[in-house]
Amino acid sequence: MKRVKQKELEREQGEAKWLDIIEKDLHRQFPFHEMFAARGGHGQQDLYRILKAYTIYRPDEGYCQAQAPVAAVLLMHMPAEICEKYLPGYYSAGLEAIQLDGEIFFSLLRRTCPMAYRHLKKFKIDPILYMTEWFMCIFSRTLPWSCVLRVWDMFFCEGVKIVFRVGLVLLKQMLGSVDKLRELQGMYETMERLRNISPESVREDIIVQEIVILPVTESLIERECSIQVRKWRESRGELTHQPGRRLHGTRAIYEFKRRAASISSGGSFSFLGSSIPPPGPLRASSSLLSLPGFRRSRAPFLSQSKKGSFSGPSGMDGLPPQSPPVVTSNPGRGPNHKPPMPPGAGQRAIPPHIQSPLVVSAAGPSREPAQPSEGSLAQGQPAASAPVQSTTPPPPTTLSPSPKIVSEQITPTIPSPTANNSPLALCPESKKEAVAVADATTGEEEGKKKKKSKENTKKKEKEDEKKKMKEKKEKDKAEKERLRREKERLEKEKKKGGKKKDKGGGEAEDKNGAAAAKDSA
Amino acid sequence: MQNNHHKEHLYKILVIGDLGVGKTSIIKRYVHHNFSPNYRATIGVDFALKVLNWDQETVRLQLWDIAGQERFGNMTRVYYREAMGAFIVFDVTRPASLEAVAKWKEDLDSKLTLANGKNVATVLLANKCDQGRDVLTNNGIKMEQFCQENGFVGWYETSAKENINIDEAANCLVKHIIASEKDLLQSEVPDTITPQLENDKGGTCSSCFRSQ
Repeated sequence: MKRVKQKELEREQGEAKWLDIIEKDLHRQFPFHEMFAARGGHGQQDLYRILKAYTIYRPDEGYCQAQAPVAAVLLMHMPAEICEKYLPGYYSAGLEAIQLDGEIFFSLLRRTCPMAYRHLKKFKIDPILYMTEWFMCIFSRTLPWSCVLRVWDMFFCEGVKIVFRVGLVLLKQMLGSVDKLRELQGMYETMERLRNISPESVREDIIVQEIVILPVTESLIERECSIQVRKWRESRGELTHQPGRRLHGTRAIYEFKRRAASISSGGSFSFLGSSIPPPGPLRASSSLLSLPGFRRSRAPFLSQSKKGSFSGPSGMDGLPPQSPPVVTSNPGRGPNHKPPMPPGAGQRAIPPHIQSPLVVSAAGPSREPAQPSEGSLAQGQPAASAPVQSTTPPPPTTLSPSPKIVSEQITPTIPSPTANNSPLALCPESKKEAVAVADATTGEEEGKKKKKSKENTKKKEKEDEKKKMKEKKEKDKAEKERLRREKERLEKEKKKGGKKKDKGGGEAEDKNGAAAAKDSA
Repeated sequence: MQNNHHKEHLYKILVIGDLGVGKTSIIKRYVHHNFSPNYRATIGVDFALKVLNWDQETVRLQLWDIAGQERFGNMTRVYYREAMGAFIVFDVTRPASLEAVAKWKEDLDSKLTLANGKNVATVLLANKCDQGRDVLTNNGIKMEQFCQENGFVGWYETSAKENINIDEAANCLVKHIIASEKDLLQSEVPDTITPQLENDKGGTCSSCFRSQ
């Protein structure tokens, strides 16, 4: 969707008077920066496209010379920013963060593909043996290039859950059936397969679809994270490096920055929350760059679990108490959540000028994977990757595709409480978690924080109990429904004959896996 | 047990050393018989398999190519597990990489020992000797001494580019591995199962190890 819009913008000529000035300015932005040093180099090209797209997007504003340096700085920093907020600690000395994510990943695998999980366990293949490169390079050395671009696109706007999902989907594809495992009877054979993924085995459209429907949500990851942090402390002691809290998606970064900015600068960013257009373009996202206030208020994720309020990402995405209710709708979430209100409504309600095109568009493509036709359209120009995509403004009237339909058909049968098949569970949870997060992040004053968190834990305990009951009910329900459906499927397959032997095996596995996941839950 | 007169051995061998000393190139030369000046840095760990005929027996060497950057050192415990031998590689044109050798050896010995408590056989490789042979031949005696002091079973000047001494070094390592394996087997009671009260294998159970 976004890409179509972006393409539209790029195709459009733009007003000559703006383009003229922009072109004159291109080589004058940070001319000693390696990115912008070369005339007509990639930095200058990207800059041109961003600035031009903006003049088309907001013809009334056109181009102001002050935009160029801002956009240039953004181009310089977007990737770094993404790494710091999405993958905190990934590249720092101890590499603890990646090891921790390895444990989280393995545990998630147990839920999503028990067959692969058992296989890896059987041959003692530790997650860091195969996922280190996958995660640390965000699959850039693993997948065919077109897939890399799609995955990065999703990753940029939705955060680390995409990385987890891609890994899980890959393992599922490579180790997810009896037939496939038959030829991998050994550690070396398995590692060989995982290290050298043949491009033919990864079809872009298929893998993207799988990534989109895999029910691994931010909250599931966060929950698993708190479990693994606890285990880590028990077995290896305190984490020596305590990275900042992980943010899930551009939306979360935006919200977080916004709160921090309003705290630290005492309202100078107040235009962000109001419906009055900000004085200049790109302002909102320029706050994405490190503000001192933001750094200060960043809470290490360990303290989160200490308080027992390990916040689900729905909470991170959630609205700060002072913000208008429209913000609740979360475009970054993609089709895997049931939004608390009709998907289109909330989105339209966000005044487009609150966010710069950079931020908005980054949140945009999350909806895209569900619409493969458009995705493949955009895929034609891989060169136009990261920063340029960001120039796209939001299509104001888009509805996200109905998540229910997509998932009901294809989602494997995991009775996860946050999975699509039990959308109702999400609402109370996300509300509660929003409170928890607001508590964790907004309060700069310690006293206030403590008091609040006390109240919170009490509240939480109550709600947890309620939630557990509810979850259990829903799980049972989902389980029944699933078994029924599976029966039907198996019967159908019987009719089809032994043609899909492979698939039958996988399903039997899934059944076991569901049981296992249930046990572990 | 006795029916396979054609015996097969599988050994896990580590290849460690500072970054850019040529670990990946050595493995590539040894296993795939080629050399390329363009290669990518290893992230985490890589693998290769070499099959040898050894006294009418088959020896499979599982070569573990471990990233040289220091920050991956935190994961080495997992990489080292159950290895039977190791190459430690340094770059003859970079003295600092030789200084790091002792550090790597120490790391290896502290995290990995055979069931009988001995260190695994380790061979030192002075790689890129096509570029700096002179420097090293002068230091031959010193190198011997260095190996003795640090517990290496041998050292070789190698070049992955010119294919110098790589097979020789590997044969040396395999020889020592087989010897140390025999040593291990002799220390156990052969072919009989003695019921014992305390299960001394408990310590090496992998699942226990994992959760440590």
